[in-house]
Amino acid sequence: MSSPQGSATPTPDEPGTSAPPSTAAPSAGSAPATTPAAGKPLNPALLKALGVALSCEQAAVWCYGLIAAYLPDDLDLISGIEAGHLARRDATAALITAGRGKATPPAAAYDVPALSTPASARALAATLENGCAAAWRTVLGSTDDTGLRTTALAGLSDSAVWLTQIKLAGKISPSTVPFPGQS
Amino acid sequence: MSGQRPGHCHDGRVHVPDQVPADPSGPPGPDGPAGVPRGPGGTVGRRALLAGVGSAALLAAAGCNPFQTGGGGRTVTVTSTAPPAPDPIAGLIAVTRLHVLRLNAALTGNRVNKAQAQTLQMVRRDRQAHLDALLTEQARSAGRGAPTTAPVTGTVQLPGDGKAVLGAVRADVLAALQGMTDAVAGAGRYRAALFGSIAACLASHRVVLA
Repeated sequence: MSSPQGSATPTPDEPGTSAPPSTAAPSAGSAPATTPAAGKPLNPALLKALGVALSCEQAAVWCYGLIAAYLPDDLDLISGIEAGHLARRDATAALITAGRGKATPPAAAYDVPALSTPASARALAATLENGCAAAWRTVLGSTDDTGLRTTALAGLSDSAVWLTQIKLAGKISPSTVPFPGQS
Repeated sequence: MSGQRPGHCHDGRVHVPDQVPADPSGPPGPDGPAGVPRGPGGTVGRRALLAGVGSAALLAAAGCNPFQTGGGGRTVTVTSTAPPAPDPIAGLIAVTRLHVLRLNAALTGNRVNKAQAQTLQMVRRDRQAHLDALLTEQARSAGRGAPTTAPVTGTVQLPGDGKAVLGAVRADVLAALQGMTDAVAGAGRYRAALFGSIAACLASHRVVLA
């Protein structure tokens, strides 16, 4: 499959470039937060990062339909994850549109490896979550806006949590990664 | 408040009428301006002198300067530079180091079963990686080439049984997650991505420890 990855990896900067503080916590498994920046034009680099994240979420929504067929024992888990990606996909498209960008529609189909076993389905799910996590990590490092950072952190955290849940269900060890979204 | 009265200090200015009403009892001077009583021979009369001295005293008591040409009262501007905000990474490092110590303590004494021990070892591995990354970032931002890493040594104690140990580790993870999430908001972009990635890992730790 085409696995869009973030292209604008944040580079080290000096501490002190700051945004207003926030106490918002990641919302694992819930719908993404709406952005307070709605209505303001977003800069091209940020729109590009959000576009990559949107592509990842669109691919995830499509692929989890396939994955569910090979993981019947984990149907509730897969359905929950798919619903989460669906909500985040739509919210991300709305965010791009509100930021004077163009949200590309999802593809009709995606080129994925042939699925034949639960292990191959879990491997595809892991690829999807790693891709989404990388995309949201890039968004997180592309903005100083507190609302957008909260949204990006929620996307990053949710993908990390979903990856762990899929691994736990498949008894895959280790089930966590120290730096989700970091290649 | 009604209208302003002569001599009343309002907004730092003294409002006085343009002309002082003439004293009908005093004799007008031969060549003085109308309304200003003058004594014989062009000298200032006693009443006018007393009125002038009295007005000056009132103005002085009010702290006003009738000759001030500025727009208002005394303005004192104090400028100061706020001290630079402390770097939050030192606190994050300290918390992470303590949690590694507590995870070491949790894994001693066979207080948890094998599966729980494997989970704790995985969490400890991740937290040690977080500590290393934070130290590296601290050294980078301080202009040092390599972090001043020191082995995590020391002894801490955790409550007795396995259930309590896991509860303590869960509490540590939650506290670290909150601290890291708070740090994301005010960090530079590179650090925001790093802190966010660590926060995401901690969120996954909550899943494996549930």
